[in-house]
Amino acid sequence: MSDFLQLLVGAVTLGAIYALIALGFNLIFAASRLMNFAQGDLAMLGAMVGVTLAGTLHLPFSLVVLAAVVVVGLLFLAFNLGVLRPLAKRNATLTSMVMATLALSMFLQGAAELIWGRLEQAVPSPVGSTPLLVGGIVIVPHYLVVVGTSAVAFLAMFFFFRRTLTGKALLATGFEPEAARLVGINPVSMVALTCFLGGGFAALGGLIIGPITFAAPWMGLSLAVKGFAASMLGGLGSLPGALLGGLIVGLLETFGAGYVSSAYSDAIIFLALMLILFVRPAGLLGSPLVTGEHF
Amino acid sequence: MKVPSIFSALLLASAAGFAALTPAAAGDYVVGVIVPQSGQTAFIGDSALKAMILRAEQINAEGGINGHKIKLDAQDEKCNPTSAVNIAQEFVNGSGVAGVLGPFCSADSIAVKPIFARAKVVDLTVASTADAITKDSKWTFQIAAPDGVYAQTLANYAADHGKKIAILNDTSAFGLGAYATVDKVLKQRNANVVAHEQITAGQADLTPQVLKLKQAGADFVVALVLGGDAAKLCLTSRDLGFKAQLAGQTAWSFPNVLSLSKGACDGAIFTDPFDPDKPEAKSMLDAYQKRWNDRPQSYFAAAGWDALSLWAEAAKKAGTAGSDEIDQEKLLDALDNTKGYKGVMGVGDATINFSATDHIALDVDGTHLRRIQGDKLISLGDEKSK
Repeated sequence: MSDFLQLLVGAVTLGAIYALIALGFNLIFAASRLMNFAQGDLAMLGAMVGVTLAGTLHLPFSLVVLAAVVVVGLLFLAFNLGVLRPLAKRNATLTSMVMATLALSMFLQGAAELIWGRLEQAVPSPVGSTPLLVGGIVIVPHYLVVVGTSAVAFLAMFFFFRRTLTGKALLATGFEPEAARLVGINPVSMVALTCFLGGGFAALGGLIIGPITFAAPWMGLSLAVKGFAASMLGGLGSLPGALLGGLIVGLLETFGAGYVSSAYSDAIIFLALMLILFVRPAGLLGSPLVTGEHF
Repeated sequence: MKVPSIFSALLLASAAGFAALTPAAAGDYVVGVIVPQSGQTAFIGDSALKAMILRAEQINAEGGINGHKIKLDAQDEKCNPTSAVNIAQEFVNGSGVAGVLGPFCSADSIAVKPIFARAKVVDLTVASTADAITKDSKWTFQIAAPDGVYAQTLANYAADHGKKIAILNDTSAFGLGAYATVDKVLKQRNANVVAHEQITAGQADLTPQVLKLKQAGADFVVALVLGGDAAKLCLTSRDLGFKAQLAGQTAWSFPNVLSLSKGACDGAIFTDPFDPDKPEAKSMLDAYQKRWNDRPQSYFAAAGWDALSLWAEAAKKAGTAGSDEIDQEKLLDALDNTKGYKGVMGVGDATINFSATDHIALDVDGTHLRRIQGDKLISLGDEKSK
């Protein structure tokens, strides 16, 4: 039983990270139908900002969080304004815009390697490293930071979509851009907003997983793959779907390694993904809007 | 990548003071060195290059190679295959080199292998440990012990000292290859293996694997993981109160692992081809300390020293007085006939022997285990003969 709970602690922590990556992914998808393949590398960049600001310059963690979110959010906003929008104006297909995000992913990896080097580096945690012992279960204090940050981020987003006009406008843009334009919503600025938020949430995820996994230029790929799986599982473009999907992926990875086979824990995630998509093609909480109706 | 980084510019500026690195005069033997000098992997090259400079100064003071002085031409490989390939092309197509030492990083050594094979230039790789370094090319030598040798040393030590042995490996080429070797040796030795777990290199959370090792009651873990994963294993084991002896490969003692693990790797042991207490090592370290006011703990200085010494011995046989070029076929032949060379690398009475079919300097007898203790690396000494 205690082993089960111990695994659960790790699973929920990982799940919280994957949920944050999926949240950024889904925000961008909800407003623009764009799949951002650079999501993992934006998270890596968040962790690297942590290496420099918290590790080298010893700035307070709250400031580091703010800086990582704003810097990476603005970076992806700039990518939207400088690359994606000009592409859209030239009538580029969504596919070529997705390829542009793939190019961004490779560019960010290469740039990070030049700036920070190829080896893993420590990202300092805002809390101590002495593990807490709760009824025989070991809890690393930073795990609480991860779960807490993720919870706050999701609550803020639920509030944003349910209670603010901008949030509702954003949703409307995703459902029907033309109709949204007719009632005075500017879809271009709505997409720009999700790009900033999507980049920012990715950076937040990378920054808070940094103290657990260390930061390295190549860390983005596995975060993107798991975050993408979480997004698909929960339902592309769905806010609660990101949370549910993230937690499921975290649980599958950890319990798969703990109870089935450590060699196949990643295979288990994607097997489950295929099964769920077979039964529910739009994901567990996804809207039928995003099914492959054109095929 | 022709643009030198700020680091290498600084290093070049400081290198101007090195006697053996000054521009070559006519009649000098230029030895090309492909070595990481910038970024996080600079620590790998730093002490090795200093040992080479010191050794070159010694040889030059003793009359050089058949009257020719050695000049080192050190270029920054950055632990990046693209940089290493550019340097190798430069050495091969430029004004010519009498020998090549390096690269230090395995991927770089594998990348430059075909260039030296095509140009028929002898290459003595210094710190590359991949098993494939000397494969398929008669022009490449390996001074560091290969991963397979480390794995064998680890497995033998585990069989001697572990009552309940567990193996943990990552699923990279390194981890799977080393696991095959360890598994074979432990089966031959009839060792009691209680668990085998795998991780994906860079995996976020090692809790499931460490819990399973703990459940199995393992008291000795042969850990075939590197870098951040090694540090994560130490930290997770400490957090979960798993107190088995952790044993890894030589890279566990590198500064990045020690700083990431924040002391959690204390007490872990690692395979090493270097024994600082050996007479040859002691005299090298004393000379190094006198020249550079520092005493390196890792094996890199020894590897650099031995690489240049082996090259010099062979060059004496291959070179002719009056010519400032060395026939590489003759150099290869002389190196292939190296027998019973007692190096700074290797432990105990191990000697370095090459042949036309064996270009690997060290085998299992040439490596032993050392322990991480804070920022010190301790020889196991008596513990080993238990």
